[in-house]
Amino acid sequence: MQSCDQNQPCRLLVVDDESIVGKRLRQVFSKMGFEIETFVDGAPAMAAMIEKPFDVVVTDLKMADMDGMEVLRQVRLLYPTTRVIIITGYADEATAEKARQLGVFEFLAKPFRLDTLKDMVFRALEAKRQDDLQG
Amino acid sequence: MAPRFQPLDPGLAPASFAASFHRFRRILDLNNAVIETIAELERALAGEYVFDRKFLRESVDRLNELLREVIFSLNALADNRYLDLYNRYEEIAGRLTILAAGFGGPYDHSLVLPYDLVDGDLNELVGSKNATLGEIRNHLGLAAPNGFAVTRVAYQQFMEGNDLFVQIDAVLAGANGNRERADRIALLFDQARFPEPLVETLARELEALLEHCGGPVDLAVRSSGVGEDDGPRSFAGQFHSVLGVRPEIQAVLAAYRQVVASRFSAAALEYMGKTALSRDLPMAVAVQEMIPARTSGILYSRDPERPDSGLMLISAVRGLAEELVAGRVAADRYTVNRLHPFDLVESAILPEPPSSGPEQNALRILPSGLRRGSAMLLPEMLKRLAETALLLEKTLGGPQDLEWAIGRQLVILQSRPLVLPRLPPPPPAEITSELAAAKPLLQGKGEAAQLGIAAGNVYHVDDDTDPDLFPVGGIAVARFPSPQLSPIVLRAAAIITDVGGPTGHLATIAREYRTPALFGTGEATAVLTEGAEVTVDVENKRIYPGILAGLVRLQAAQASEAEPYLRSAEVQALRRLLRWVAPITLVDPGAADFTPAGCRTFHDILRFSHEKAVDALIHLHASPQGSKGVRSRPLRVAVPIKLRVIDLGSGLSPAAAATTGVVTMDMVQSQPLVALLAGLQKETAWDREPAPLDFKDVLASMSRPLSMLTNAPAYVGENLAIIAERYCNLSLRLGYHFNVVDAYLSQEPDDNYIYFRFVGGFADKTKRARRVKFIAAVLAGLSFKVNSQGDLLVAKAKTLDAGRMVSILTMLGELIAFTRGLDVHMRDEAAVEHHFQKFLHKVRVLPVGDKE
Repeated sequence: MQSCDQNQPCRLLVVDDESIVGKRLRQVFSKMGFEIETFVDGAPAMAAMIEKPFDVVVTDLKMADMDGMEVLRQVRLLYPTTRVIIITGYADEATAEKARQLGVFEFLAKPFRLDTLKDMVFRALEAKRQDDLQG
Repeated sequence: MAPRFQPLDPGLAPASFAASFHRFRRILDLNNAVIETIAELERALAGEYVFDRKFLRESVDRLNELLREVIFSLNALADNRYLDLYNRYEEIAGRLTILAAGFGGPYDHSLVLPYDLVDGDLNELVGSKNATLGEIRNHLGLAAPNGFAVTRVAYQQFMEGNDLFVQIDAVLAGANGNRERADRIALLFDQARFPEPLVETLARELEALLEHCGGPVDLAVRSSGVGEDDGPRSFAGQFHSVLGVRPEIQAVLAAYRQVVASRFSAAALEYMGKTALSRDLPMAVAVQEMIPARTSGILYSRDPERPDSGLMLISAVRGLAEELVAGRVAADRYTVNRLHPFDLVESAILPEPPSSGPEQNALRILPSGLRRGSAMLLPEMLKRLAETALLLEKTLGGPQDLEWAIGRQLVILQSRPLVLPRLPPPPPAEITSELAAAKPLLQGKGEAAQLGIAAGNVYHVDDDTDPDLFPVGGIAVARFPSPQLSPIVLRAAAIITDVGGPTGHLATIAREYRTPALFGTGEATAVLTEGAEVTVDVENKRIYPGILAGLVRLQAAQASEAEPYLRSAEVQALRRLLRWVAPITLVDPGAADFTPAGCRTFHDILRFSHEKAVDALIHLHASPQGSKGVRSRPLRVAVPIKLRVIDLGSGLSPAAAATTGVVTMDMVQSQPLVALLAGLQKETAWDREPAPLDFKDVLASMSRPLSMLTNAPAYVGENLAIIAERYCNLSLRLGYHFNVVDAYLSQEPDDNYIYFRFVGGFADKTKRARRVKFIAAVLAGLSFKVNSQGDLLVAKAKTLDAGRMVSILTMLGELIAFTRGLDVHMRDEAAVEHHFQKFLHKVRVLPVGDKE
């Protein structure tokens, strides 16, 4: 089902200042064999990213220190094949447009269905794998 | 919310009817909106949604608004007869607002709380020991002592009222060594005075407890520290318990003083270390009845030295286990398999104590009449203990260390997390390869009703399964999530169904018992074979063949981290608020507590309001102002019935509006009336060929007990149909009996209902009652819930799709015609059966057994 090599777990990074989001996603994705790290701030999340890159990043848009747009910008700059999914409370067309220019993979509105996110993550992994194959 | 019915034509409908019907429709719409919101919250708790605090606040605001309008609309419809509902509403809405805002709840300032009000959610207020016992008594239905909690608020008042924290801090900073510190702190406690409000409240609660116990009983006063059982350390045995306390306020106060003082004993100070602050670990206290124990002991649900060995340890002594807890006496020891049927693996039985008194000697004769060997626990009781331990392990979220006693029955005195060496979770790579090798039997199907992972053997169950025979720890697989399965859900390690979703009654039960539950898979009963070993991962909607050890260990490791998600403030708040929203406790409209005051949850208020709204509408035209001045018109039908119609809007075609006088069938647009009359006018239906059908369910319904019912109807009018496009209220006198059918038929199954009331007759009472029995049998086979008493019968059917509504209404029409004058033929009980069969064979019956 997931597109990772069977002995190489997929790596998922979650950044959301509401800690319950990370807790929940850890619970779910770890049981699918993902290696998952969760953060409530952007800065330490980026530090983790630099130490060992992730395949997919799920980040909240509005956060106190570093917002989701900045996470997106940095991730895409450093690791162009890593896919970024942004969680947002509402749809603001200007932000959405800017995020598209920065290469966001998908938007997701809270509260969201887990199945929706799982589906997005799998598609993101597939897209990344295609890139890596061509890369 | 867009109205789902056509605007009413004021020219056709009288104002009072139109307005009432409007209100009724509004209540139905509100009803749906509430149910949707509850469902959304339940789905969030079930784990389907990722949510946050904002979502909780918004949902509660919405619920509060909707419910207020439901009550308003009902009162507008029913002449303000139910204003009392506002009292219950205000109380519940207030609680919800507080909970959603992140505060603890309505008891936050209570000094004491009786165990009837305590559950696991009140941990922070009453401490772990009290909270767990409340959960065990009130939600798991296991026996635990009566008692009450003296809360941390009481503790703070006591401590601060005597300036104890400040003084203790001074001692801790000054004195040398924990022994000296403890001695000086003990003096402070000796001199402390009890605040008057605390004494008064305690005295009142003590009186209530003794009354509850049926008279004076000795008491146990124990510590229940807030956070005592959390985290890596266990404070087991660190704090003082006082047993055999006389049931008097002064004795209880003295014991309370000793217990809270033990928080600062030399041993406790040593144990907590230098960094601990005086305000850490606030001491809530438990005051409980003493259980007269014949045998008592300790159970570890896993072997602490070999947690993965699949064994549990039980030790037992005669009488009270206090000495055993304190490690001062030796005991019988048993090692039992954790898996059903919980075989005894090993036992170490002590020789008889030489000092056995006469009382113990008397107990050596077992209830079986056999003289006891030397073992204190028989296999049957070992099994019962093992089952109980597994239930607690599941519902409390991890291995347990429990203290039990057997007097008249098995009583749980205490249960707390068993501290085990922490195992590292299996590395992701191990899970990845384990999953890569496993081919799921079922994948991506169904909806999560309660999260979790479980492994065990498959057992197929249905309504007829005896719960006591279901092996604790088995995986229950059922076709329907029927409420009858509740006791099985308690015992099962997981439950999987073909049909259903996360919002039904059984889903609520699964969350209450924390039984992983996956509902609506469509194929579980077909795919999962009886006895097969499987691993269920509800989060990911996958069921694997065999036991996936890595996955099970991952779950255990996450649980030992105190399950960060399930323990998060948001999830706890959601759980708590759903307890005030989702359950329906008012089930029977005929019951004495079916009143506004009897409503305990929002769902109760909704249920009550819906019932009373239907009632008000049905009886509207029977009221004095009802049909006065109403423009009704005769309807020409093919059978000799005089019937008039009142159109509330779109019940008749525009062609009818253009004419006056008699209305013909082709002008009737009211879908429920058309369906009813189709049956009622079908004289030929009685001459039909028998249909080959399965009547098992219909026949079975005859043996069900019929509960009592309310008053007879107060109708005095003539044959009348009040109609709208999707609504029909038909009052019909046929022969000497009287029928009322009230039905709503739309594309929205949740809105649809049929209400049928039948009363009277010509023949004697017994014969009329037999006819009712016959009708009840037929209706029960047609998805109706039936209540009857004597010759009065009330039947309701709900949540049917439009197609079934039409067929059932048609059947009902046939039945009404068929039963006309039938009572005269009901000479004996056999006649009931005879006519029942005759009806089934002569008239088309819907496929039965479809419980959806």
